[in-house]
Amino acid sequence: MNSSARDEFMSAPTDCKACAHCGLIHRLPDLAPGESAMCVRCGEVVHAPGWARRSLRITASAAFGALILYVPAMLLPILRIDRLGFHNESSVLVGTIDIIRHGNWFVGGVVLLFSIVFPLIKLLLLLELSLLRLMGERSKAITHTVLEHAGRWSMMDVMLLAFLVMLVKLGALAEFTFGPGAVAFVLCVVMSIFASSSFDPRAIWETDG
Amino acid sequence: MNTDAASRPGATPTPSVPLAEVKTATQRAADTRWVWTLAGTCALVAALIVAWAFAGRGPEIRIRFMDGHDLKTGDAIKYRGINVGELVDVRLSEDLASVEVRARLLQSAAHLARAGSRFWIERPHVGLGQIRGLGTIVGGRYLAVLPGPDDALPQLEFQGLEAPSDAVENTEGGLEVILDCDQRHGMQPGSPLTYRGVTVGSIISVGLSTDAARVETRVRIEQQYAALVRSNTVFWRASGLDMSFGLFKGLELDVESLSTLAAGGVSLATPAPPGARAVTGQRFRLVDKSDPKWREWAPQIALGSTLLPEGAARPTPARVSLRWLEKQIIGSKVRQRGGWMLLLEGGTLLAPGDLVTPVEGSVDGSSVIAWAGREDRLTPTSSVHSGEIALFAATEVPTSAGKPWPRSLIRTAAGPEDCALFADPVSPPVALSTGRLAADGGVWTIDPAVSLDTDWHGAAVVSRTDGKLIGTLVVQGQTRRILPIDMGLLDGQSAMKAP
Repeated sequence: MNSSARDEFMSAPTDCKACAHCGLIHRLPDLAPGESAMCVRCGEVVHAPGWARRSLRITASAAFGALILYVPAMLLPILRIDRLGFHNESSVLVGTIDIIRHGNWFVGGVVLLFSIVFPLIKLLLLLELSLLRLMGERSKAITHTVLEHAGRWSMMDVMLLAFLVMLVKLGALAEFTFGPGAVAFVLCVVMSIFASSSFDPRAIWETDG
Repeated sequence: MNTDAASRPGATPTPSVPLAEVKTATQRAADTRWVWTLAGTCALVAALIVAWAFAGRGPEIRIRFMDGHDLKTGDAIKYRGINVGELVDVRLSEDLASVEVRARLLQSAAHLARAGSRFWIERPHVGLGQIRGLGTIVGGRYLAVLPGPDDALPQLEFQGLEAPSDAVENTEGGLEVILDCDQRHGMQPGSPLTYRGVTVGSIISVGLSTDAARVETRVRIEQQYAALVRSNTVFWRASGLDMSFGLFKGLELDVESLSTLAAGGVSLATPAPPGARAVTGQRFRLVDKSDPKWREWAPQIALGSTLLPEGAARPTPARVSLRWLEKQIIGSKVRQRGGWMLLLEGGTLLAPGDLVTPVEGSVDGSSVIAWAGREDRLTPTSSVHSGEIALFAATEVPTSAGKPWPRSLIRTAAGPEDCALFADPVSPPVALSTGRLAADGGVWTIDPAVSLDTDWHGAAVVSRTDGKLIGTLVVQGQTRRILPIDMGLLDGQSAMKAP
């Protein structure tokens, strides 16, 4: 795309837009403040002034909340195990490091990557995209691509499933209690799912603010 | 409709692309800053979680040990059989001379970190005298703690004990004396000190005197038994086994107890007019063999209690059992209830009223109390009452009723105070702090959390500050109340007896 064509495209945004729900393309009428355009087929909002800003704010807020919860989720004890007088208590981060230190490089590495590193990357990229709207178009595109790919490998929720399995299997052998880290972890997962589901990639290209 | 024109690139949009409907939106689109409350809520929740995680965490203490005995991070600190903290770190000290253990106490146990608290590593120990710490064979080591005195200052660094502490829990107030002898004869720290076969203390240390001329044994007598040791008390080694053989009497075996047989111990006896009370640091001669006539010594010495001030005697309530015939529709039925009453100076007995009055609804003249080995028939005039407390005037006081409680040691309490309950003379008393008592119209109700069963009915209540009798415990089902002494009742009784 040559630069003049792109400038033309950017300066004169198209007045057509697809409905996010049913995909029907609409022409957008001129909207006065406080009005919104509705889809003629499914009745959902197609366009409203400032929708991009709102969408990005929700994403940023949820991602920010998830990031705050991420800290206690990783550092506070998540599981307490009592077995025949042996008492063990560890956080996700310390537990993972312990796994690696005991020589289980593969398992520890996988957990470290998919449950600790990728979720963090995903949250940071979501925050970057939704907050820093002054980025160049090119860097936005790159960030978005990275988010699309890295985000898929962020599997904090899988860890929850692993806890559940452990609880069911070892329940009779040892005594388990959830620590405060578990609550933070669950909330962090919920918030990060909310952040990524509320993220609308179309909003980052919107220039009307 | 011209679909061809619409699908061709570059063509102007035709009416086939529908125009979106316009609708007046609600005002939520206008201001979107409210979404930041979501992040704010998350921050608040995170703060709460962190606060929750750190709540209940008490101070961190450091303990030094010469030997770690396989202690690991995460092991527990236990006191009274439950966890009161855990080890955060176990490492070698920088000079390689000791093991440094860092532990975090629970908030509820924070007061254990005070001067005088002793820590040791509990591990399996099978000795001749006792077996302890068996649980640690399977369950791993733990750190045991014995707290220092109540009023000690907080302290965070401790020197751990190398051997489990054999010291009794309440060590302050005990009596420590030194015994001299020529030979150690297998005595070791922790061996019991017995009086008539009852353990009254233990050996703290055994060693050579500084001039190596004798063996010095330091013994501690528990506070409630301190009164037994007098200036003329004799101590002898209870090696446990005494064997003698005579032509006519055959083989004679004298065994003190299995534990003294195994671990060696010390016995003591005090002659009939007991001498002055011994003081800490006093020296006694430890002899090898007991004289048979020492066994016949039976001085009457009032025992104290760890809950009472030094030198104060403990009351010995007498067991009383009330028996009556209850009227039934046809015939009658024998019923019974029991409790304690305290013999006072002047031959009267202080008791809960329901123990010394004829029961309502009983067959006339069928109420009989049995106490101190005798039975008395109750009549409406045999006792005087003040509320729920009664004074029973016995027609005759048997000597087995014990020593009467002197009038000078009775007073009226202005309000709830720290006290101790005494019922069964041979079982330990119960301490009650002021906080457990709620004054309610001249009667103190005891906190339901304190466990006291109906067997304590009639127990004597003695002040912990001056050792004076201040009330009587009344247990009725779930309600336990202390009825303070009414001096008017005592005076009225003496007036009644006068004519």
